Amino acid sequence: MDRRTHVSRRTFLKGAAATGALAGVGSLLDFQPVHFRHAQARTDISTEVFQNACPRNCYDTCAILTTVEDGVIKSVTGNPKNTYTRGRLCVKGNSYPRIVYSPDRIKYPMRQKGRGSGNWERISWDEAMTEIAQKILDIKKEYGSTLPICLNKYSGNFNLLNYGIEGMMSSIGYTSRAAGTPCWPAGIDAQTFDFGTIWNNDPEEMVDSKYLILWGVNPAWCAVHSMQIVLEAKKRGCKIVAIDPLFSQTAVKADLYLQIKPSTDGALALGMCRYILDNELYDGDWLVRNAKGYEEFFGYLKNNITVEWAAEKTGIPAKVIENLAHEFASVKPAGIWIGYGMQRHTNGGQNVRAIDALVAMTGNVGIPGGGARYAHLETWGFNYHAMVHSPPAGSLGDGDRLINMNNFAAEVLAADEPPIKMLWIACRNPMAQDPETSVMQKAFEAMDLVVTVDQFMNDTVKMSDIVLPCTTLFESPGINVSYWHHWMNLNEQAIAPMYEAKHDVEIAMELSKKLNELEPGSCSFPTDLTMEEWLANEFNAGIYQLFGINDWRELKSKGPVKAESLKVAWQNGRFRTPSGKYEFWSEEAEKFGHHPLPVWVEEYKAPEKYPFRCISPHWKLGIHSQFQQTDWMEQINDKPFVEIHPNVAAQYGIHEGDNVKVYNDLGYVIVPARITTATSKDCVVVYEAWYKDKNFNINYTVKALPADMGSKATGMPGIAFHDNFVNIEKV
Amino acid sequence: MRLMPLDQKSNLLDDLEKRFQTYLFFSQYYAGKADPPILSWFYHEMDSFLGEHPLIIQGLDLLHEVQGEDSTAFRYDFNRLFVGPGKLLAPPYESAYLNQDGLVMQEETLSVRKYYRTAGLEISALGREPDDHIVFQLEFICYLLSQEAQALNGVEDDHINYLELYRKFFAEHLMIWVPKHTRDVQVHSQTSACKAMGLLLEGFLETEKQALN
Ligand code: SF4
Repeated sequence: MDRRTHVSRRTFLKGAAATGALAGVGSLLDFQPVHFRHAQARTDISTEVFQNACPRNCYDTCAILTTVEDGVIKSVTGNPKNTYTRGRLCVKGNSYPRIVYSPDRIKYPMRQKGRGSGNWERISWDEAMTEIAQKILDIKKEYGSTLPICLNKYSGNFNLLNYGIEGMMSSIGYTSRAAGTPCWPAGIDAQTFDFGTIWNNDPEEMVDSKYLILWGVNPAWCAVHSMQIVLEAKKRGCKIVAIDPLFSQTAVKADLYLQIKPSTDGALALGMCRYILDNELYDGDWLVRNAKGYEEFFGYLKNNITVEWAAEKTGIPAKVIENLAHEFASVKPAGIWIGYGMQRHTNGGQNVRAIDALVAMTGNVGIPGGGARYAHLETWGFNYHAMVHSPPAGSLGDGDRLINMNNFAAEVLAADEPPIKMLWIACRNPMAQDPETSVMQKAFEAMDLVVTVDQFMNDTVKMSDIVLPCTTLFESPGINVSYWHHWMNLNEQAIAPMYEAKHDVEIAMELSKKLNELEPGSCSFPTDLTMEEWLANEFNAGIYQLFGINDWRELKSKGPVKAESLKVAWQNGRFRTPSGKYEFWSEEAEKFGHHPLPVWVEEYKAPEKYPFRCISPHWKLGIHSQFQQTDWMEQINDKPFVEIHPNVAAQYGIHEGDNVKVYNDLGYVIVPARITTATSKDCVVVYEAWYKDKNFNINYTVKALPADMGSKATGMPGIAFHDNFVNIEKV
Repeated sequence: MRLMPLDQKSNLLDDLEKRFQTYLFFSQYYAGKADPPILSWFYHEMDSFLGEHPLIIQGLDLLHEVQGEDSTAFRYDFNRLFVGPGKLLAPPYESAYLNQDGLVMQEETLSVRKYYRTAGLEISALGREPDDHIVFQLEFICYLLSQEAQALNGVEDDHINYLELYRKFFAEHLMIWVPKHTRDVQVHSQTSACKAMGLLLEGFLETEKQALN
C-alpha cells in the first residue's frame, strides 16, 4: 500500500485550516513568531555583581557575590566584606548555579491526577489558584472554619520574607499549623532555663580561645567557615578537644578526641564539675556575682556524682576526665561549642544544662573566647510583617490549632472536630525528613488536597495534588541573618525568575487575590506590595540601631553588616532568667517538669532486640533534601551507606560493600556496609539525607520519640533522633 | 515526494513552504498544542511531505495507531518527557545534551541566543526560559524560512541571507542535539503518539540534512 500520494500545498493548507489546530499561527509569507520579539539593541553586554545570601538551614548563612552577564549567572563566590564568610563558599554553595540551571527544576504549576501516580498535567497559575482557593472556601463552608487546612513549613529557606507563608495562612482564618522544630529545641530550652535565652559569642572571636571543646558538633562538615576559625585558634596555641561518639572529620583535626558513649554527655560534664569542685578550680567570684543556686548544684555534685561513675557511664577513663577537667578549668578563656546532635536524645536538654554548668562554674560565661556556645536569635528582631496578619473579619475559632511537627503524621491523622483535609507544604520535605515515613504516607492519603511549593521533585511532591514552582535565592529579594554568626546579609534579585517560578510571598498575594475575587473579604493578605516594599516593611529602628545603619538600602552599597554589640554574650551579667542571674537552680525548669538543677537523667538504653544505636548525623554534601540532587554531589556520592565497626561486622559476617538490612519494629532500609573504626561497637551510622530517585530513607526506622525539652521556647519538644535502636543483618 | 535541494530555484517557494509547515507543526507539537486528534490529522494530511526515510515510515506506521489513543495518557507522557515536574526524561533543551554539565543557560544556550540576535530577534521570555528550547529553535527556523520567502517575493530585503543562516543554524545546532533528544524519546516514551513524533522528527531532520548537503 502506498499512502504517500502527492498532496498539493493547497490541500495541505486546507487540511490545516480544517482542524483548526494551527489556525492563526501564520503562513509562510506572513509569519509572526509568537515566542520572539525584536532584539533590543545592545552594544555591550554588561557584567553586574549582586549580593546574595545563602538561606539554607546552615550555621554559616554565607554572604554571596553573584556575577551576572546578559541576565545569566556566571559565577558565585563568598563576599569578602563579610569577615565570617571570608570570600568563600562551601561546596554546596558553590553548586548553586547548577540548581538554578538544572533542566530538572520544577518549572510550572502542575496538577497530578492521582497522588503518587506520576500523571501530571500542566496548569496555569490562575487555574492553580482557582482550584486551591475554591477548596479553601469549600472547606470553610463545610466545616465552618479553616482549621481543616494545615500548614507544614519550616527551614528550607530562612529568608525573612519566606515567613509570608505563615502570613498567608493567618490571612485566611485560623488554621492548623505544624508547630515546633525538629532540630534544636531541647538545647534551646536548656539554655533558656540557664541564661534566659540562647545567645552565643561571635564565632569569629573563637580565635581568642585558649581551650575549645567541640562537643557533639562537626564544623568540618556542617559549618566549614567556623572550622577555619577553630584551626586558626589551634595555630595560635588553643587546645582543641572533640567529644563525639563518632570519629568525625572535625575530631580528626583536634588535639584530643574522646569517643563518648552516646547520650552520656551530661555524665561527663558533671564528672568534670565534680573534679573542679573538689580541686577548687571553679570561679567563686563569678558565681557569687552572677549565679543562682550554685550551692545547691555543688551539693548535688557531692552527693550524686563521682569521676569514677562518670568514667563508667561515658566510657572515658577517669584519668582522662580528670585531666580534661583540670585543663579546662586552668586556662581562660575556655569555651565549649555545644552541637545540635548531642541534644537529640531523651536526656538531651539535661545534658546541655550540665555542659552550661561546667562553663559557668569555671567563670567562662560573658568573656571573649569563652562561652557555652549553642546558637542565638539576637539578630532576628525584624517586624515579621510578612508573617503577622490578622484573620479576616468574622473568622470563627479562637486561634490556630498546633500540630506537633515532630509527630506530624500521627497528629494529622488523629485531628478531629474538624479533621485535617488540606495540606500546604513549603520549605520542607516531610515525606522524607520526618520520622515514621509509613504513617506520613497514610496522612497524605487521607487528604482532599495537598499543595506543595518546591524547586525539585522529591518524595513530598510525589504525594501532592498540586505543585507550585518557587524561586531560588537569586530570583527574589530578601534579607538573611544567622543563628550562629552576627551578620546581616542583603539578598538582591540577581536574575529574573526562571520559567514560572514565584516567591512564596508572590504566591500568597496571588492566592489572596483569587480568594477575594471568589469571595470578597475572605483573605486579608495584602496584594498590592512590590517585593521591595515587602522587604522594606521588615525593618525597624531596633534592627537599624543594632546593625548601625539608617536605612536598609544602605546595604546595597555597604554590603553585609555585623551587630558588633552582640560580640560577647552575657558580658554585662544581666541574664534574662526570672532572677536576672545565671540559674543553676531554675524554677522555670521545674515548671516544665524537669529537676530544677542540671542533674543526670539516664540515657535511653538499647532494647534487647535492637542492640545498636543508629545515629543519623548530617551529611557533608547536602542539607537533607537540598543539594544532593545536583550533578556534582551525585558524582561524588550517590549512595547511602551504613557505617559499622569492624568487630561488629566480623560478628555478623558482614564485609565492606555487603548489603545490610538496618531494621526495627518501625521499618528498615537496605544499604551497603562501610566498615570503619570511626564508629563504636554499639553504634551504626547512617547519614540522614535524601537521594534523588532512590528508595532510601533512614527515617523509616525513626520513631517520633520526643526529646526531654523544647516545649518552653519552641512550643514542642524536639525529636530524639539519635535514640533510634536497630538490629542489622546481611542480606 | 522528497524534499528538494534548496538551490533548485523553480521549486524554491514550494520547498520553503513544506519545510515551513513541517517545522511549524513540530514547534506546535512541542509547545503542547497538538494532541492525538491533531496528530491523526497529521498522519492523514501531511505524510507525503516527509519523504521516505526509514524512521519516517516507522513513525507514520506508529502514528496510524494514535487514532484511538487516549489524549490524557498522551499528555502525561508528554509531560514526563518534556515538561516535568520530575526529572525530564527527554529534556527539550539543547544545552541539556551538549553542555558538559548538562545545565541550561550555559555557553550552548547563549550561542543560540546569539543566532537569534543575528536575525534581529530574541525570545520574549528572555532570561526566563532557556533560549535553546526546541520550540524556540523550530519557530526560529520558521521565521528564517518565512523571511527568505518574503525576500524571494520581493516583500522585504534586509540583506540578511536567511537561507544561509538556516543552513548554519541547522548544522550547528538542531542537527547536533535533536537526534540525541529523539533517541531519549524512543527510550522513554510510553505512548505511540510521543514515540511516533520522535521518529518523525528525527527522520525529517535526517532527510533535511541530506537535502542541505
Ligand atoms: S550551605 Fe552553609 S556554608 Fe554552604 S554556602 Fe550555604 S551558608 Fe555557606
